[in-house]
Amino acid sequence: MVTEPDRVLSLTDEALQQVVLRELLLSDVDDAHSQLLLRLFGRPIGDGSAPATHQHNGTHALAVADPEQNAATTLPQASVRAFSPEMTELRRILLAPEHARIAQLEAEIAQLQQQLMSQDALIEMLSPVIADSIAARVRDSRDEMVEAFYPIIGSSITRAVNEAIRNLAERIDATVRQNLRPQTLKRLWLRLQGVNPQEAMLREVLPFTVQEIFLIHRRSGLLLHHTSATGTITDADLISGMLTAIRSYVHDSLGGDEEQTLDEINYGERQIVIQEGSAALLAVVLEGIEPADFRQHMREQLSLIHATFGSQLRDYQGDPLDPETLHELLAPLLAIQGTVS
Amino acid sequence: MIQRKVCLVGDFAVGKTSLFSRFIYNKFSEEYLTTVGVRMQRKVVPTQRGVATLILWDIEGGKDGATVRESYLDAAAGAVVVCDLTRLTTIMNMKHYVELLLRVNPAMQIVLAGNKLDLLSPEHAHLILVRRVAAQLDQLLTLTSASTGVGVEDMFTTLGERLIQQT
Ligand SMILES: Nc1nc2c(ncn2[C@@H]2O[C@H](COP(=O)(O)OP(=O)(O)O)[C@@H](O)[C@H]2O)c(=O)[nH]1
Ligand SMILES: [Mg+2]
Repeated sequence: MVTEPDRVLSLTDEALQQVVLRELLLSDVDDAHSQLLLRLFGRPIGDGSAPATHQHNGTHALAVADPEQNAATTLPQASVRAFSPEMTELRRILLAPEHARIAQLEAEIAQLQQQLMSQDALIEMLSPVIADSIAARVRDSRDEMVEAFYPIIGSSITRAVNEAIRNLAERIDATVRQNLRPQTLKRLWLRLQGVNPQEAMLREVLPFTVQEIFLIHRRSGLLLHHTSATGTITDADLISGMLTAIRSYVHDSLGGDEEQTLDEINYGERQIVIQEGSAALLAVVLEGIEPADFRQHMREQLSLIHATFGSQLRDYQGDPLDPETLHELLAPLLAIQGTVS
Repeated sequence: MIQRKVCLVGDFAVGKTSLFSRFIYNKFSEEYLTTVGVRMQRKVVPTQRGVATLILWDIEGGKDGATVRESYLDAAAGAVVVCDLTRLTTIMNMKHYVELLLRVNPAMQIVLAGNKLDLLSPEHAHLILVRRVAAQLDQLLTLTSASTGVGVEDMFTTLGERLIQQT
């Protein structure tokens, strides 16, 4: 229902002003609003002669509606900024119950704050009670407790194990940073560095899969391309936007310089690894422990994409880029699975 | 597929989120969405160049309801500024949002949406007021009801058409 302004209804200006003034009186409309309101009526703003002219009339609001009087001067900005005594009185009467309620709530909050102020006192008071009741509860319903705790503890154990393995992997990867190849040389080097050979072999067989790849326009968050190993994602374009929003949020909230960006999100056993280029960013959902040079691979494909699409990518407005070319450039990442040399 | 980023702004509870039927709530927890203060919606509209997908950033105001995280507006091609026709302040606040949007992108395609039309009688004074505000701001006004669906399709189609013509 696209309508043209100003053509439809026939309420007179005076009636409209009455409505508006009543709302002004009752709501917390600020100066900018009253200015705009006044401009809507095509009247001059801030006419100095205003408030004094109608002091004979106790009901300020009604004066506006009287066509005999100059409506413009009865609706000056001053009437909002500094209310006339009558208006102030009227507001006081109208808002009295709210004021009383607010005062009461403030008192209650202050009291609660005081009680909560001393954390030590609170703990002192509560801990014996809590400890006793937990002990009793565990004694009486052991099975129930295990069932209740399992989902919490179970997943934290998984996370801890994951974390430990990831640390192990990182430790070994750091030792191998020197880029030693072939395999035998690498193993020898690790041994010389004191890494035990079983651990070194473990690192090479840690499971790893790439599940989803999102190529995202950096500024708008629009999805440029999505490749999936699972084929289960239907809202890739919305996820792409959400990831971009989350990055903005983190960036805004933590401050820091332009260089600092969110490049990793962990959730459960999965991880989203993000690498950023000048116009596009690559977000990869992976499971398991990523190979040491995986991010390097991501960056390489990303530069290839930037080189291939050039200005098309820089000036991207939302028109599609060639999906086949994009797929060819991203498929190599999807192919990195399991063990790596 | 042609895509465009579109932002939805407006005061608290004017009906921004209600203007859609598709959500991804199940993928991101409600707590997460509230913290980040934005949720994504998708709206597919017909245009002269075939269907286009509008990716809608439904942006919540800050604590006071009227502040928008400007980085969320980045690279948006269009925007819908929503007000609640029953509440005067939300109508007046549209000016603030329009100014903000045009500051971020002077070429932003903007549509104003006077929402909750179902709650007003046809001769309600706010209807005159909202038209004046739209004229004053020199922006296209559409009247909508997220409850009955009136005007919603039209609004997105109009915006979609403008976004496609623009480039
Ligand atoms: N009657 C009516 N209620 C609406 C309409 N649009 C939204 N609402 C209600 O207004 C409230 C706020 O809507 P919401 O979409 O959450 O507002 P938001 O804060 O702008 O996202 C909800 O209770 C909605 O049900 C409408 O067109 N008509
Ligand atoms: Mg909302």
